[in-house]
Amino acid sequence: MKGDFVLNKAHLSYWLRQLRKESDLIAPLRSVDGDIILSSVTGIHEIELDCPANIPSPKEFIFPQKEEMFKFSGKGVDALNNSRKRVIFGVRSCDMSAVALMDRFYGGLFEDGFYVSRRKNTIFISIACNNPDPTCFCIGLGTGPYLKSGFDIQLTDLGDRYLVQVGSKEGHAPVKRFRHLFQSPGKSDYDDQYEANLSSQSKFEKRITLENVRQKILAGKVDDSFWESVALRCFECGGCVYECPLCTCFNVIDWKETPDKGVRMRLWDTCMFKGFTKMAGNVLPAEKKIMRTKRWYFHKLLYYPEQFGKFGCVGCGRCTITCPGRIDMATIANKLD
Amino acid sequence: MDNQLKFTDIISEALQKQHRKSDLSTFEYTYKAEITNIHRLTEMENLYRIQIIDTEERRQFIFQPGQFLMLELPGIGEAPFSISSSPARHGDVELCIRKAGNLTNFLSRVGRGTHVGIRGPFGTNFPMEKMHGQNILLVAGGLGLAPLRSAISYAQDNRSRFNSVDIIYGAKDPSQLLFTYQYDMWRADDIGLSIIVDKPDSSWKGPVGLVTKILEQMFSERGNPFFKSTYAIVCGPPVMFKFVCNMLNQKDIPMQKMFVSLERRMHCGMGKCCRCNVGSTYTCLNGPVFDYWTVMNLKEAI
Repeated sequence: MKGDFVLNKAHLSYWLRQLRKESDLIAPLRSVDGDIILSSVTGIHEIELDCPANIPSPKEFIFPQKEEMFKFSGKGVDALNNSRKRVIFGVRSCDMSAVALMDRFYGGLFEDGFYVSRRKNTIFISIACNNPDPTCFCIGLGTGPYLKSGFDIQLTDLGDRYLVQVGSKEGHAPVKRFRHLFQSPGKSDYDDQYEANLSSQSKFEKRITLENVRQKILAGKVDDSFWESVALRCFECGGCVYECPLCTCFNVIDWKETPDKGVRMRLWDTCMFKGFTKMAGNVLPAEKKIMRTKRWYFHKLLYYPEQFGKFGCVGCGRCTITCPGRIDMATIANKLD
Repeated sequence: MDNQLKFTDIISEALQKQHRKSDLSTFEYTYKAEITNIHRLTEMENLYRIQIIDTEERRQFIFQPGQFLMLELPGIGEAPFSISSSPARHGDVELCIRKAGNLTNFLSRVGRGTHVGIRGPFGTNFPMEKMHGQNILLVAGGLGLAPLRSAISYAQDNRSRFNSVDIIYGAKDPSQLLFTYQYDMWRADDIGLSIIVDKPDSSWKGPVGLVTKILEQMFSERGNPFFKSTYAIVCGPPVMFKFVCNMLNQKDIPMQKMFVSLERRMHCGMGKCCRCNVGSTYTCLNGPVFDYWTVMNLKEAI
């Protein structure tokens, strides 16, 4: 169920308002203290369409920071379910690619029920990037600025109208229901999209090919002294992991409200922390900091390609902004390239 | 011959069931179980007999030696434990647990009749069917005897299918020896058992040293043809793996015929929480039982 449509810009707010009626609409909004974050929309006019690329990633909506798995009491166990329908609007291409890869991770082999039930009820409307930030490098990874596949609905800003591309079965419903708002695209629409794509691609300041880095590591040209120097600068704050749209590690804890009542929940965790792999009897497989920093980079640069054929990095540049030690993915890749 | 029932077909169908990768319904499910008995092995370790309450579920619970399960106590947490009972016992499992952390300390204080949840079985197993018709050599160090006991029980149950079965067990001191009450039973079942301790006390009469000492003795007693048709299972602290496996390798046991069981922290058992990975290999999915060849190719595994 794929198809391309054209939506007049004047109709966008009407379309979103209608979508909000049947599901929870989430979009980038300016919060009280001035930051732009993804949150539930109350007024359609408040949506920030020209937000920077590095707003917090949408992973918290499908893989929440604190997810309650079930409640238990003296009597028994209650499972919690998440069946709220959601539309997330205004996601960037890089985040959309991250979600597509997360689908493969959580949906593959052993399906993760909590993730899949949330993802099933979520539709992403991504906007192709026309204004990449200086920290962005998705162009070198094929995860942006324009996506060819792996999205639900992709909008391309063509000045007075949007080119609407439907890329999945789930994404078809919101368009089909309001078919009267959409026109069929002509040749000029595709030409305009092509031009917008080219002009967006020319705006990238960083050109990074992680494949070179991977080849170098595989060939053994990067020795431990390099990783030692990286580890020296690591503060173990975990910022890169929390901000990364692709980091999926979690911790499971039991939280007791009263002695016989409580919740089991899973929380985001960070492989940069020493206790991450701590086993019974204080055995630490990754005791030194260098092992933990190396593990993060190797997971993204080596293990992801091995498992999925794609890098565990989408080039969103969030770690570049977050990392206080300046040892983010882009910097490391530049050094090794 | 024609009117004989084809038992093999029935067995292979049952065996396929334990490959949980094709059977998604088994792992999502938490079985309600009860601690029916607690057997005190040493000061630190207890043997817990845990029974799945539902009789039908208990019968259908199939596992293989070397696999592990997740034991959960609501309000305390969940942790992985390798099963140390015979696979013939189905959902009437025994877990050998040492007091080491939050959950295990709590477990050491509970009494009979406590209700727990179990999920599983997870992970790979020792390929016992492949070992049929061969000698098996089981080398255990300390608590490493816990997962090996399942393989030993399998060997006891299917003694006719193996040539010679030998256990080499090393412990720190005589008071830390596990399953002391079973030694005579193993010996009576024609399973060679040699025990060695590192720090003997006054009453200890057996050999003193490390497991490698017994291995050397064994090498001098038995010829190369014996080791040519031998499978080895090694389980113990990571330091032990290297020494024992290298020694065995010198005796012409190929690396693919040596199996080790690794230990990592786990929270899910499904390859999602990312804690147990060694390189791109997840210990909970591709392990905990690896052949030594795989382990050698994993960086920083042991």
